[in-house]
Amino acid sequence: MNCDQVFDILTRGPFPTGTSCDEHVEAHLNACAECHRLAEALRPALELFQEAVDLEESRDLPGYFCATGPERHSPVLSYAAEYETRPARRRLAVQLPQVRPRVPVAAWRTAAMIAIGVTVGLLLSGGAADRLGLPSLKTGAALPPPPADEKVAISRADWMQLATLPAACYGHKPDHAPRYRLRDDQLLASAKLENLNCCSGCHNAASDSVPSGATRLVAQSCRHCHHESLDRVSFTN
Amino acid sequence: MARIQRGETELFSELVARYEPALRRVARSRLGRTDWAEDVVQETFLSAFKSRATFDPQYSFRTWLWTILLRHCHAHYHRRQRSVPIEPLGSEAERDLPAQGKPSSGTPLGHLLAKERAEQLELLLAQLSLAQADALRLRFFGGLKFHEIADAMQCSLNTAKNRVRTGLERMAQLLESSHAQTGGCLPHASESNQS
Repeated sequence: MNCDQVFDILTRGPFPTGTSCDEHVEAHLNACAECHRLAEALRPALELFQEAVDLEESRDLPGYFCATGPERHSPVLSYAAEYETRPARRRLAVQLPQVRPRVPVAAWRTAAMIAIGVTVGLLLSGGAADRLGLPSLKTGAALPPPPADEKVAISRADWMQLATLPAACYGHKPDHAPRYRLRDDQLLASAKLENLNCCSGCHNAASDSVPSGATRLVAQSCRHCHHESLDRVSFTN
Repeated sequence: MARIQRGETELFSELVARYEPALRRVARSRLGRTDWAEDVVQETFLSAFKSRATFDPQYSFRTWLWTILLRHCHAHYHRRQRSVPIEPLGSEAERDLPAQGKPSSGTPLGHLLAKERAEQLELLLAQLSLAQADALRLRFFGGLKFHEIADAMQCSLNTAKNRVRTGLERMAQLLESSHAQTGGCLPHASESNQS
């Protein structure tokens, strides 16, 4: 279900509708910060409309309740279902799932994205790496992957300091968006993630378009928490 | 409509019965008075019937009808505006009319609240641009799909969606500011649900 379909349903009549599509809409709203923000912003006006329009009269309107629009003809792609079928991995984050698989892009774009990510990583994480005794990214050497049977011990705060998160990630206050309350409060609070935003806060998780430079960087940065390699990290207090 | 074009004109009454409530609601919201709305809806059906031969069945009848209604609303509004000042819904002219809101509880209090919601909604719609308000009326009062709104308003699909979206956002802002100014005296829609 994409953002357009969700907007269509939310503005079609009272929500939840009591139909099977509610689950898909909820899943999308949980995954897409932009739609969630929009839904919250529109809610007062939508409720006023719904209270002002007689429900019975609304049902008499052709196409108001019965037709499901374009989603009837297109398969409902459940982002949540896709997320659940992925290999088990440590889900640090917020209720938002990890970065959506992108559509294929040209090789030079991918290379540029990686270069940007590495550059920002050098700028942001050098100090923390030095303190941890890890190979500094300033030298150009990548963090060596730990052996499969060995975990890297690291404090949560330092883990986050190693993140190549651009400043845009810190502009969001989760207490203003209750759906995005952090799941593991104890873990994440000590990691000082109070103001952390996720990638979908800046671009739609369901969008098929390739994000532009800044948002691409955010998406890249999210892999810091949403990646299989996180399973090989043990967190100290 | 194709059958009506072929001469079964008595079937037109079915179309009237099917679309008349929604058309009347939109016209009433647009013009602010029930009597004018009824005039415009009648003119709309009359125009549709007279022009039935020109209707192309490959297009949507619904869209065609709504386009006619909007045109008549526009003409009627300007015609009346030149002669009589238009009062918003909830004014003296509407006081004795049944509430447009949902008569959910059936009690006098419920009736009053529902009427208040409808009046509040009309006041908010009056503060939007005409295009935004029309798009919202077509969407919520007329039950049109976005592509139908686009056709009826003769704009692109994205423009229609954008008008609905920005209109709702503006309404939400107005609701929030009015709520803040009145310190809760003007009940918010969600509050009434909770109470």
